[in-house]
Amino acid sequence: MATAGTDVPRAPSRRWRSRATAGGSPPATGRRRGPRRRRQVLPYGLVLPAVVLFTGVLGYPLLKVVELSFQQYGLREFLTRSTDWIGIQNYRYIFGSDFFWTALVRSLLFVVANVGLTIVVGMLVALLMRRISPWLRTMVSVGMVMAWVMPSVTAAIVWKWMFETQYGVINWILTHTGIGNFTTTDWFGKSPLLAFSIITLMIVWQAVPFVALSLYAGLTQIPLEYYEAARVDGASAWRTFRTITLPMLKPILLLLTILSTIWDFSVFNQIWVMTEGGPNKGTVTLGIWSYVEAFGVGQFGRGAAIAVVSVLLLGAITAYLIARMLRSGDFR
Amino acid sequence: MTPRARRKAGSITATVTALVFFALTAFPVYWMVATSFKPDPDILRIDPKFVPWPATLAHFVDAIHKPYFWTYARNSLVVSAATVLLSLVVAFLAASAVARFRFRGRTLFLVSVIAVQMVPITALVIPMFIALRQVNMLNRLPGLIATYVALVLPFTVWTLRGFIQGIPVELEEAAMVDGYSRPQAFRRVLLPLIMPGLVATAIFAFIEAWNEFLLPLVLMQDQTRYTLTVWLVSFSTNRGTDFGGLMAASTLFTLPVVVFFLIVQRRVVSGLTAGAVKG
Repeated sequence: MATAGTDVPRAPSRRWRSRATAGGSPPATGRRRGPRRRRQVLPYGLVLPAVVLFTGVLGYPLLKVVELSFQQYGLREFLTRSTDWIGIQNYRYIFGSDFFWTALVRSLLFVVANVGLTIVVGMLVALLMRRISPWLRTMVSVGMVMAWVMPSVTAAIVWKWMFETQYGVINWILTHTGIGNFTTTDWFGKSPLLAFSIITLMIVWQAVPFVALSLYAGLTQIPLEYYEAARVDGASAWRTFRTITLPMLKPILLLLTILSTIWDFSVFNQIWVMTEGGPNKGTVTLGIWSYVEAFGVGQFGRGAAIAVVSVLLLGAITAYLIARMLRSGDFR
Repeated sequence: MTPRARRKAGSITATVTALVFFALTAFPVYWMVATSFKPDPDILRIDPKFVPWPATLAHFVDAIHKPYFWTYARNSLVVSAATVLLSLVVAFLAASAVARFRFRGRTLFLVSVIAVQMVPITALVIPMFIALRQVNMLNRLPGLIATYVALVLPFTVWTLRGFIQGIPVELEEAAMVDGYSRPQAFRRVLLPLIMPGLVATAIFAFIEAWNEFLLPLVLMQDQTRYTLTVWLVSFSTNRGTDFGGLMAASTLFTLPVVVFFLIVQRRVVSGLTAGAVKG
């Protein structure tokens, strides 16, 4: 360890990366003045363990899932450890089944609803936090942090208990505030839409804190003079928001949208713990379907094909969002 | 209304809204803790009791005396701790290289780190299951740890890179001008400065591993190899759920996460979105 750095040129001659170039642009070739870009062994040695692990624990499974998607790999193949190439039959099966389109549309609507609600509510909360007293702001932050930090598994368990038909506190509150008679409402057993609404509500509840706190941090960095100028000019609150706040927060909003999309698209725990895909397969998203096909039905090949399709889908969506972010130009 | 009166009315509205919002966000957490302290008759009643008084510790005692509870707790702890240690060492080395050197393949490496973060774990669990079975690692903790490392490694590399970049290179350069070798400068200058970042990343990775559910659900089939998450869920789907016990177990499970998280909360928010706002 101690000798690792001895063959590397000393600091003054090294071209250090400065923070200003943190975006990861390729090294400029024009900098090759003098003998200092000799063989750099050290950086490669440093990334080697990570590269090995990446390849082993991530790269290999990624290749493997593609490979599996072209195989008939059921319980029999699992037990006999044999492989049976069947070309694109798994994909043909998926695209040919009506259920695929149902699950696809459902997954997309689910993501859109979750991300949209999270961003809008998060923005409102961030704006609200600017208008309240510091102690109340601390209180709101602590409440949000508690929601945020709750493990998704326990969150789902607790929400299931709150929405329990007979002894659940929500049905009692809804009934006793005169909203209606909810004494026999079964939130998860009857209507997929109801079940999805509760799942969405819970996911938004856990996702808003990160978005709201990030946006609030962004808000505090906008120079106050802008707002003063707007007030002097007599701009309405909405106009101030649209012409100052929104453009200033655009980069961070896009980043949060991308992150939320990735997270909400990958939701598994909450749905599985609350409904296991029910009622009547009504809450089965692509992720749940892939899991059930593999570990419930025992069709690993088909499950892998569904997984590949959903990864490509998510990749396409995020690529679009990232392209927009880069095009907007103000993000590094 | 005068502008002053209007502003006052506005601030009262904001305060009330904030209080309602606080109540809504905090309620599920409160309800979990409250339920876990209530005696059974107070839990299973048509008119819920909002204050857990008289309180009992019976559900906590029950929960920790459930069969295998301590085995699950140990499994969760061992797997999470091993994951953190392994991924942190590896990620730290890689992050230093990426933050402090330019080298061929650096951009490719960074792009892959970001790209793999987008792959949902539901897509990886099938090949991981098959691959672990091929090397006879199914149902074994080392196998599970390997998959957890896959889970946390990308973001540990990414966050640590940010933390290292946040430390001015000039500090190290100055130390080396003063006669330190590079490893010495690293150990005496960079490492102490990076410590808070390392701790934050470690805690974040620990929480991620501690909360993971799908991987142990699939990869650990022997009941004694479950982690706490799998146990909690199997507990909850039993018929005639014991809600008091379930809420007590959930509270116990959540507690370490909350404590850890409170330590690093600020850093996490700023770390993930640093530089995303331009003034």
